[in-house]
Amino acid sequence: MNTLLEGLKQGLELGSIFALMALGYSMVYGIVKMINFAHSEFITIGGFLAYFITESLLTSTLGSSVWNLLIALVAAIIICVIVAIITERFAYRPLRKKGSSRITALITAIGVSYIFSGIMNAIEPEQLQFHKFVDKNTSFYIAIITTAVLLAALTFFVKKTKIGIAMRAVSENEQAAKLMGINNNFIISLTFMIGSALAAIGVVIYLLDGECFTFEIGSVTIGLYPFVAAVIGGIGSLPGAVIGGFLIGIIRAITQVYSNIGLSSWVDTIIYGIFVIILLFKPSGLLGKDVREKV
Amino acid sequence: MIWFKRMNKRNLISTVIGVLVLTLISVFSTKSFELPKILNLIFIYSIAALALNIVCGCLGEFVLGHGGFILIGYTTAVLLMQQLSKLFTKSMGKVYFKEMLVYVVRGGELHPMGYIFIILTVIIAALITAVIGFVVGLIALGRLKGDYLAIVTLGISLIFVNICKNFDKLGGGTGISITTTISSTPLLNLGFLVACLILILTFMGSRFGRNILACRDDNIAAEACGVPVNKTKVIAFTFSSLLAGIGGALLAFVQPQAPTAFGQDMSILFLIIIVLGGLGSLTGSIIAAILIVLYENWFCVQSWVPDFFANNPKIIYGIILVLIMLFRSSGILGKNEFTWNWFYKMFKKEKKVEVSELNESPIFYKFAKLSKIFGIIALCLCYIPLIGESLAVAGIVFGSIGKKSSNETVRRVASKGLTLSVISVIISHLVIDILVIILMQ
Amino acid sequence: MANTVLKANNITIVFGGLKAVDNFSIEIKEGELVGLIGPNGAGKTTVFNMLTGVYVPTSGTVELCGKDVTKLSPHKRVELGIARTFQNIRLFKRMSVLENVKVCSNIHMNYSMFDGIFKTKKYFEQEDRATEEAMEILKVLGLEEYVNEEAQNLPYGKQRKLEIARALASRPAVLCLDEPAAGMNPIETEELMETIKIVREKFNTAILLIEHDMKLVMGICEWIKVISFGKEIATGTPVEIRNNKEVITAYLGE
Repeated sequence: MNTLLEGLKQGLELGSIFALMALGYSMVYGIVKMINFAHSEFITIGGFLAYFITESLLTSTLGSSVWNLLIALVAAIIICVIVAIITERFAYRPLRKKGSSRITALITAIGVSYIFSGIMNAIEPEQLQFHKFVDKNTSFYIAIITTAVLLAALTFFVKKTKIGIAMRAVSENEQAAKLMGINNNFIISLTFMIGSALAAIGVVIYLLDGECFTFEIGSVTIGLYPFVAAVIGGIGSLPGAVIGGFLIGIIRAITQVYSNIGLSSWVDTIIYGIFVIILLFKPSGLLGKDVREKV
Repeated sequence: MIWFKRMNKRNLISTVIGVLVLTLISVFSTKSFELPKILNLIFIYSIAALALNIVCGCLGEFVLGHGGFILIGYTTAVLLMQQLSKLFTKSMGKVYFKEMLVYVVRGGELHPMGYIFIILTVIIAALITAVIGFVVGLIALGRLKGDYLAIVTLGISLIFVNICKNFDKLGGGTGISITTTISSTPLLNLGFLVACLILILTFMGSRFGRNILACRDDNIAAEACGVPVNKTKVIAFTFSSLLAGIGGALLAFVQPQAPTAFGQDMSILFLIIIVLGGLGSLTGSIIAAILIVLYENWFCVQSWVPDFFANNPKIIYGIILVLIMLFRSSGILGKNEFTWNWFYKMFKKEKKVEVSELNESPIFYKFAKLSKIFGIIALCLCYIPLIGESLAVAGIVFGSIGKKSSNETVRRVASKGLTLSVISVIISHLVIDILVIILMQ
Repeated sequence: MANTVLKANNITIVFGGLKAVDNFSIEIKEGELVGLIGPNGAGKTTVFNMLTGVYVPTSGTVELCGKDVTKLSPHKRVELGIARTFQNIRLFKRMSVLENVKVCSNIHMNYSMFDGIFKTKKYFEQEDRATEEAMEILKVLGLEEYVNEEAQNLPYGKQRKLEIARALASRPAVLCLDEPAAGMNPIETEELMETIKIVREKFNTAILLIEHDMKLVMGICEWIKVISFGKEIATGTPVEIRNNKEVITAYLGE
């Protein structure tokens, strides 16, 4: 049915969406050295807010215009950011203050993610369909362009601006950065905010062309793929996250193309297999830095 | 028998009595309907949690793919049993085999041959899992550590799940099961748990166990002390997958499961168990496994419990995890173990506190002492409904007041009373339930 | 003539483009007490790491008791008779003092996993011998009262001693101490000097000492090697080193 070329195109679109989400994972990991499992829940929250807002606005004067979409997007971003700030403030920051181990942080992240997904499970809606704002072709261009622009902007932000430099300082050595007068709590909150905003943008682009989705969109449908993308690219590295995102997206789309020979049911094996192999040869990802403990 | 001579006789006798009580409960539990399932799950979850605790708690490496190894144990056990069953059906005729293996849930007994079959199958399945664990460990542990290792093991376990899902013979979408032909008894699972526990204790007490603990505390220093770090990690990982294989194989004789059930959620469930119990604490893992199984299979099905709890375990688990991490990140037991010494020390007299030593009103001391007395009495009377419980509740209240004291001895007395009371609350609820179930049948 | 226990021939290591250690050689004979000194960043610890196997030298060889160990991993070298302590204490924090020492005795045990799990006679024989030996070492170092204490609860000076005790449990032919007096006050340093002397007498091991504290090194070492910027600049007895012009310039500047 689908040709390989079409599959590639779809892969690029999916890849750029994964890349946006992977950027969030990657930035948060880079700065607090913690896998933010709750990220996938931010994705779900973003998707649902956008859905409900667009649905309610469809009946208003805005109808299905671009403004509707933009308002929904901005609202989703804002709510996601607020959720991220609350999460960071009440779950992660107390841990940091206590100087807990990384396992503790990881388990807390899992716990937070469980709470969110449990709450959304409890609401339990049926499958929903996002309003079809654009056709597949347009959404492809939107995805690619958004990712490129955001990657460029983020890179500029991290490399050149004052806050970006502070961010890098905190990720290198939190204590030292603090002593140099950097408000590290603010910087970490900001990183979480950026990450969750990217998650919201990513999921809205994902849903843009009238995709069907359920409450499991973040934890099951998209699942761990953005995270795997971030790790493949080298966690903490922005271009790495994007490369990983494209890699995973393309692999996933291509397996869909060949679903007639049963390739699509092997998608997990293929992606995780590649993931494991890459990590075995490059233990810190494609573009990650290898850090060795000093004696 | 040198080891016998060296054992503390009091502890040995206490342990034997404890195991005997559990054995009796296990044997008589088959008279009821729900109880065997709960006990089976408790024993199996304990084994699997202990397995994970060896890598996460004792070795200090973080593994998120435990479910995958349980899946391997499960699948190989089912496949082996199917083959065995075919073999015997062919040679002996179907009727005889069925008669031999059939396990009637109510009042039935498993044929001795059935025990032998299950034990053999479980051991072989565990060995196969251990081999796979060895290969995975060899590949992953030498090169990766920390979060990366966690994620890679998660990825590998998801690959296992995906493979099993794609072949109908290995499980497919609905899963393969053997429980209609043969299912095991709580007694057998208890036996495996005790065996595993002894295995772990002796293993961790040997030079291999010491190496593992040294690697947990400091890889570089361990290497400089002559510990072959990579080899030790692989040994620990293999040992852990062996036990996970035992857990999975035992599960095959208890509960049919689809391959997808062994994914991320199961891995995280066991992580929750060991974190709840305390990383590195073996008895802690068992206590936490008991709590989790009871929560899912006993608490949630009680008529007075709102449906919310049964329908949304994820919220509860999430809240438990976050609260534990924020307020007691070392888990219930921390890195301590439940030992008989600790248990008996609860009843020992503390040195008397003179009123003049207290720089506060002596009321706290009185409450602390009361709490301990109430706790002990509650423990003695816990099998009597209402009385035992109310005494224990009083003990808890007094204990929490006594804990506020600024004097350390008083606080210690209070916390003893508190612990005793909490234990007797748990026992009174459980024991009464079990007794009621057994007697009613 | 005593045998050579540790010998390094022209070892060189390059990090990136930087030669951290250049053509360094050393030969330590049985029972000797040798000092290795040099200003900050001279490459002392790097030399140490090459001798004990943390780094593999870019060129040159390391011999331990007559065997070429240049490419062996650290734990294999321990079996051949080298033991070390760390500049920043690296104990097994959550293990007891006795267990800390016994970790190092593991290399002298050869009971199998079967013996360990079923607690055979062999297991008890070897474990008991290790415990006895560990207790003896702890007694010599004055740590016997802390046997069952967790290592992280010991005071700083005792932790240093425990590191030495731990290293001794592997019965090394040569013991490498990496700045054992770091962070100690003069009284503690004095005590440490005594300890090192006792250790050397009782356990009959050669000692290689890296140290900043001149008093310590000058007080107990038989001979001393001085390096600066990765190069060896002097070798000799404490008196000779004290009067060596080059050493004085290296330390004080021109």
